[in-house]
Amino acid sequence: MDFRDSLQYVMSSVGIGILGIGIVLSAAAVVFAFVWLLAIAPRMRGATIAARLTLALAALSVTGLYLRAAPFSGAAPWWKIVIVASLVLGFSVPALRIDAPVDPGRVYHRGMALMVAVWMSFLVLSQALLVAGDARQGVLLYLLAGSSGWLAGFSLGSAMGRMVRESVPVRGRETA
Amino acid sequence: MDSPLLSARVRRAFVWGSVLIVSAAAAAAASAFVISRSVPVKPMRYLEVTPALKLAPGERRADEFESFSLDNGRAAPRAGEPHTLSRTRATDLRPYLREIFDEYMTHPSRWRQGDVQQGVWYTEGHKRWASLAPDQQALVQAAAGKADPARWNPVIVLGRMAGAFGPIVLTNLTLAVLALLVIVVGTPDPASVIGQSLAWIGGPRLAQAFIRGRFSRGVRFVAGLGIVALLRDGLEEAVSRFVSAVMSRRV
Repeated sequence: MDFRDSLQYVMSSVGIGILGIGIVLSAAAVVFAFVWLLAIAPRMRGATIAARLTLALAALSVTGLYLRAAPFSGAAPWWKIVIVASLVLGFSVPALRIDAPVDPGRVYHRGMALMVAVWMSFLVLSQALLVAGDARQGVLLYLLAGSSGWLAGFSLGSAMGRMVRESVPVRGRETA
Repeated sequence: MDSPLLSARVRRAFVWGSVLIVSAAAAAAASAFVISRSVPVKPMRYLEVTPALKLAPGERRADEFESFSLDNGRAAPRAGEPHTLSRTRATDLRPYLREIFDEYMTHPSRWRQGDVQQGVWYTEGHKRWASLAPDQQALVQAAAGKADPARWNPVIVLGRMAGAFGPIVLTNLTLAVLALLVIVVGTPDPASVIGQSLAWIGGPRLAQAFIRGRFSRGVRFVAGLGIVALLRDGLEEAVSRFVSAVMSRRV
């Protein structure tokens, strides 16, 4: 064993410790992220474009980062298409329901909380399977991609829908 | 006298941090030196016979190669992947790989290529020693000098851990940072939201400690920055104007 091999051996032992700390930190981080998103996402009142855009970017970038990881190489080849399709669908649903009656006193959007919970549940479940040694989890990865796209699309679509509602008088509401 | 940019405490932390890093590096180098002196270096034939291939522009040449897959999940290159012929760095990074190739080149008639391939995949650390056939075990043992060498080898363990946990650690830490950003951008008082979440997770004492602590002040400082306010209000106004302009044309 030469010096370089020995150094690699010693540094790997240190690396195991550092990665171990990272694993513990990341386990805590996902709990905090879950609670923070559940606390803030359903209570975004008004259009709040910047916050909703940040939420959408968070959902899309985290899912993209995760699905691009080496263990999932070739496991879900159509994930980008699924994300784009669900993003468009998620944006369209609130945008098409502009005429629907809205409760102005509502401060908690249960649907948004459910979307965050579903997306993060798929993410955590997929991570648990990855740790268990199952990287070929095609259906789950597509569900993760779809739920993140839907969350991002719905987040932006509902903000845009509210802006449109506030900027023009809606026929249904005028008569009501 | 304190520097206006760095407080005395920050400077002290920086100095002690540097001392700690240098000491750790020196300790690692000293340990590596001691280990390398105590374990004899095996002479390798593999390094000597690595061919140097040079082709002139436009020149064609046919050569036969024995190839091995280094990744158990990718036995063959996929369509569209570029193929390059170069010396692999895996022999420097992965333990026992060089020894296995060396053993095969030293005694080519003794080992079958399929057994060598299984031995190569064993060095990844995903295969159990008991799952190898007797010939494959004999090859690895002859190459490494001991049975089941991958077990508890820190380099292989780290590689395996990084393969399984690396994407998870990266994803979760990124998610936490972005979730924090959502809170900073989405609420006028992000510190209270974080304090509330800490109260749920760790109890009211933890929340109190956070609210009184520096991190809370830091979060409030970031939330109060002009750029965040501009992002929050300016973007809202710009998109609102755009939507109003588009809708007024249509109505």
